Amino acid sequence: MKSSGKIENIDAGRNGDILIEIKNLFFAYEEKLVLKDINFSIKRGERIAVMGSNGAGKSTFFLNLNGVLQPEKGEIWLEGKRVGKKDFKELRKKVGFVFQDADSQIIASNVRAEISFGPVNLGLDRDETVKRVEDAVEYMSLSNLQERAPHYLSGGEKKRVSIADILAMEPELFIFDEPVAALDPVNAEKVEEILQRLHGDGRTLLIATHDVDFAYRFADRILVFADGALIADGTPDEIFRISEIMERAHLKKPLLMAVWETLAGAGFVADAAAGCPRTLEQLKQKLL
Amino acid sequence: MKIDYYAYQSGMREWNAAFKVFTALATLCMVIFLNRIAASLFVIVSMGVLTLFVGEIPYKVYFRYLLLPLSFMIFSCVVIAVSVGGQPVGEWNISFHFFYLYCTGESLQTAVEVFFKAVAGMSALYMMSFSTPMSEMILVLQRAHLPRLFTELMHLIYRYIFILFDAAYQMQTAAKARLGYCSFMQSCRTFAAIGGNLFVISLKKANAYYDALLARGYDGRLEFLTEKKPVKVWQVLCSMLYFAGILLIALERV
Repeated sequence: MKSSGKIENIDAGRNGDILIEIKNLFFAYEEKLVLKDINFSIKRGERIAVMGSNGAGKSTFFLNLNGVLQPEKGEIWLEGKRVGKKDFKELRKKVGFVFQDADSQIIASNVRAEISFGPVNLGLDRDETVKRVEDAVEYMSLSNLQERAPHYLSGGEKKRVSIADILAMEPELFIFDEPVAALDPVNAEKVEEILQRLHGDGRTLLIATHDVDFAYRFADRILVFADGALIADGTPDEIFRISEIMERAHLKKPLLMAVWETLAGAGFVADAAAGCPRTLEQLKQKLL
Repeated sequence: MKIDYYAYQSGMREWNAAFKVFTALATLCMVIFLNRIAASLFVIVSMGVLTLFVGEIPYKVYFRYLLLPLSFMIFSCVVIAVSVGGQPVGEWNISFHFFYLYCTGESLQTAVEVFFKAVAGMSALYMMSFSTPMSEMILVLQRAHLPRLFTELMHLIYRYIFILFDAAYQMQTAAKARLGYCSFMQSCRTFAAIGGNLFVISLKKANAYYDALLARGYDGRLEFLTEKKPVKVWQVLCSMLYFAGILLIALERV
């Protein structure tokens, strides 16, 4: 699948810069503290998995990052500038949020109009809007569904439309709330390929997921939430070795890691210290 | 609801929506004011042909939808044709001892005229709704300067109907699976529970919806890219000829 010009045009040179920084962020839903003292930063081009049990505050945190909810206390810095009380719209432009339930995101009554909603809100002129819509349609291979109504699409198709929605806005940071939840394995794989492709194009991705195997093979970094606090931030290899964190966040060890440890424990692996494979392919290479 | 589904697949989908709406409404007005059976018949046949062959709507579907209002129309026409009176008047009458049901040639004529007028109007409107999805219809209204508040509400309601229908359907299925409709009383209880639940769900979904709108930069104006579908010259010419045809047939006093 070839990607279109506009979307490829990422300033890869800036990869590694700090894109967004969160300092001492607190958020409360009417007196009830939902997010407690969140601190971390995201670099350009990172792919981060956000994990934690249901109700740990992930979705609320994302809405804060996106500017839909405003933090009680704390600072958000975007590209080196502090986001003030009046700049939340700026956050919405730079941070795109793909919701878990595509149906609660899709509002227009045909696919093209739906994808255009974001660009139109950005205040782009007609030519640029059309271009963005067409690029996103091509990127997500939706060209044969363009004129269809969203309520006559399948779940996987709706998901792709909801990703194209955000793609057309060309944000700096993509947030995905459980992108593969409720999809069949084939569609889930398609979405994972899309995520992989976005990463390849230099996009910054923040993905909430309960799927430890997916997080383990996909992410460079994992953030773990429990009871509204960020309890761990590290590489998948680090995070999945600390059983205390896993217990608190209701996580389980990825299958591949458990298999590898069993093999190493039984002495089947020569270089057990060299690190655990993250994909089936890597496992094969290491064993043969 | 189903009409909308067919409208998305119509062969006339690419035609300018305002043009279709105008043609249908103009035809409707002509049929009503000209009041000629021949003109009505001409419209019924021509609109049917347009919907079935150009719009490629399955004929079974089309006739089923045409039959829906038919029974209603037949009853109303009978009421127009037949009057109640004390004396045996009119060309035809039936005695009911206390009163007479009678029917004059004139009233019969009116009834038949009204009937064909109604069917012709229906087929003109079906041509419009079987080829124009609701969303495009709303845009036409917007261009006709209906207040934005109305058109935006129509848009949201239209999209939301499908989501709520879906939710209601799922709850109904879940209730059925748990014997929720095993008796009349139980059915009533289930129905009430689903109704209440639907209300709560709709509130919840509205919240999620609003968050999603905000996340994509919504600031009070619901706007989308609208496709430009210019009216073609041959379409205008055809519609002119068509209107002229209706007029001619009506004035010929066939």
